[in-house]
Parts: sequence; C-alpha cells; structure tokens
Amino acid sequence: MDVRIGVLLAPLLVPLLLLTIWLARWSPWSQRPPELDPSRYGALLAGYRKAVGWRWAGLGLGVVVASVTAVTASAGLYNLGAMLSPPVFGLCVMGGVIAGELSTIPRRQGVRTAALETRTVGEYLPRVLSGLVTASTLGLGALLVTTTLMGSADDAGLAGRFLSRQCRPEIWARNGPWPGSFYSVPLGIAVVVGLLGAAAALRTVVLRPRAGSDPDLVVADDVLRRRSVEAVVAATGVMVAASLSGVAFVAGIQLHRIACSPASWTVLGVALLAVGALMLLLTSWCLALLLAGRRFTPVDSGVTATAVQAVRR
Amino acid sequence: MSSALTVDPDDPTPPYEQLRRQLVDLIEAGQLVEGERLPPLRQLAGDLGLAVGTVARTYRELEGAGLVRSRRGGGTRVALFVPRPSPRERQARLAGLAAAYVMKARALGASDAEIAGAVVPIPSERGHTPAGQQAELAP
Repeated sequence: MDVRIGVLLAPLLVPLLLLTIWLARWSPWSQRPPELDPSRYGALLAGYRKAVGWRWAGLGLGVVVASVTAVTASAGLYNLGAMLSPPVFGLCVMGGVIAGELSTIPRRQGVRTAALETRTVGEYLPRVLSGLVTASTLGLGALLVTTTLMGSADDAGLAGRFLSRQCRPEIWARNGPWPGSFYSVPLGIAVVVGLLGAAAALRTVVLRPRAGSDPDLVVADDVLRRRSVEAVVAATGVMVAASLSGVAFVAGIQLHRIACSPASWTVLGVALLAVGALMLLLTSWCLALLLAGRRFTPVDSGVTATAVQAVRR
Repeated sequence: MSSALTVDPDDPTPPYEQLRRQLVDLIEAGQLVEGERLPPLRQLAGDLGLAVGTVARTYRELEGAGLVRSRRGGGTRVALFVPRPSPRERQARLAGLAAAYVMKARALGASDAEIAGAVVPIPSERGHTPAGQQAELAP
C-alpha cells in the first residue's frame, strides 16, 4: 500500500489494538484456566500447558516472521509483503498448534484402551466463529476474483497493479495500488496454503491419541481439544479477515478516489470500506481468542455428551 | 459391557485378533447396532498405539465375515443385524469364557479357591466394586 493509504488506515489500528486487549483481558469471554481438577487430571493439564507453550511460540514466531515478510518482501515489490504477512502469521500459529498437539501424545505402556467413538472436526468447531471465518473466506475469494478482473497494468507495465477507467474516448483515469493480479494471485496462493495448514492442524488435533477411555478423562480431554481447534479457527480468522480487510480498504478507497467513477463504483467503494471495518473487528476478536481463548468447562463442551454416551453405552 | 476396546501387548494373541474378537462380541451382543460407525482407522490406531495396518486388517476380517461394510468417505459401519443371543446361547458362551479362564488359571498353578477369589468381587466398568456381585464359574 502506498504511504497515503497507510496514513488513512493507521488510526484504525489503535482502537483495534485496544479492542483486542479488552477482549483478551477483561471481556466476559476472556480466558480462565480450564476448570479441571489438577489432582485427577495432572498429566492432562501438563500436556495442555505444553500445548499452550507451543501455541505461544507459534504466535511469537508468527509476529516476527510476518513483520520480516512485510518489510523485506515489500522492498521493490510495491508492498506485496504487507499483503502476505497475515497468511504467514496464520501459518506460524498453526505450526505451533500442530507442534503442541504432537508434544502431548501420551506414552503407551501396558494394556491400552480406547473409547469406541468417532471423533470428527465438526464436533469440536466453534459454531459462530467457524461460520464467520467461512463466510469471510468466501468473501475474500469473491473479492479477489472481482479485483483481479478489474485490474490493469501500471505505468511500468506490471499487470494487475492499477485500476483504470476510460473517462472520455482519449482520456483514461488510473489509480494504484489496486489489488489486481499482481497482489491477488500471490495472496490467493498464500491463503490457500494457510487453509491447507489449518486443515492439517485440525486433523492433528482430532487424531491426537487419548490417554485412555475413562469417561471423565474423555470429557476433560475434549475440553482441551476444543481449545486447540478454536486456536486454529482463530488463526485462520486472522489470516482471512486481515487479508480481506486490507483488500477491501484499498479497493474501496481506490474506487472512491478514481476520477470519473460511476455511481455504482462509489457505492461499491463505500460498501467495501464497511466490509473492511467489519473485518478489522473480526481480526480483533480472533486475535483476542488466540491470546486468551474462551472459557470451556466440561459441562459446556458439546462434544462430551457424544463421547460420554459412546463410552458409557 | 463397556464400549471400550483393549489391547494387551503381553497377550500372545495378535493385536488385530484381539480387536476383532472384541468387535465381534460387541456386534453380536447388540452393543454395536446396524449402521453404527466404527472409529476411523487412524484414530483407533493412534488411541491404541497400533499401526494403521493392524486396525485395517481387523476391519478387513470383519468385512470378510459380513459384519461390517466399508465405503469410501463413509467410514466403516456395522452391516449386520445380529439378534441378541438367546438365554441358552448366552449361558453357553458364558460357560465357555469361564472354562477358558479356569483353564488358564489352573495352568498358572492357582487353586480353586484362588480362582474363585480372583473374580469375586468383579471390578465394574469404572473401577468401583458393586457389592454382592459374583462371577459364575463353569463346572
């Protein structure tokens, strides 16, 4: 993004940061430790702490790598790196989740038991957040296709970096940067890779072996699985919502700024600015969930009913 | 019967056969009904610390016996409706199980009193001991 757009977007980041901190620390959704009895579930809680440690390592790595990507991959590439930093951040978090889950696999000795149950990703997904992230992903795909089709070459001949419109037979209006193919193709590829990483992380969480088949342990273990699944969905949310927010803001501003734009472009531009703002809120929520996580107890963990039923049948 | 599967690495019976027997028992006892899905291969293999191929062999054997059916993308489900055994069949199976236990215990050098004492009280599913519960031994 050019400097002017950066100046326009910068004031939005301060309330975003404050909102994230409030959601993570003081809101009703802020984190409490898992409500499990340490005397009964010591090993499980130790595994959980290990998984959280890895998740935080992924988060920290994500911040560093995304920042480096934003700076280094932008040099000479017209800020392309800034667009790629959300997927890079998401991938690092997902890597942390996968490493955390793998680090908690129990060592098996002696007689081994397994509950006769079928675990699926769907049972662990947070419904509302997953719906929002899915809708945002579809929205991002649709917007990238649209901006790619509308893009044109810039002054240097780089395809898909500018938006142009013919005002009169001999007069063309051109504005950039525009999220055409120059930005949308690498971003699309990075998001697809990020989604594949999310799928791998979800699969790892669901397939992680249980430490036994005791019904209470199954219930407690499912609480921790839901936490990990939520982290993956939240990381996907940051990846998609931050990308969609950036694309929507840039496209909205350019549609609004370009000379002789038709009324439909102006309306579309305003709508995209609204989408960009909404996506900033979703980014903020997802970041807060990553930093803190909601409280889950065995009681409100929906999947446990299935698991317990399976075990006690 | 608890719907949990157990594998004992010290048992000379191969793990795939241990699993097969338990699943056959569950299906024949009506604990697993027609259309019910068995755990996915990788999940069950991971939970029991077995190779995926071991669990796959169990499922293949069950499929060969017509007890389950596998469909790509649909998992493995119980195929057959097996009526619950009649009281006489149940008694006969129980006697067979008890006889096998007694034989193994005697081979271990246990006395009749020790053999009876080992199964009274019977541990329940969750480790508690219901009072007054006794095992029935084969004659």
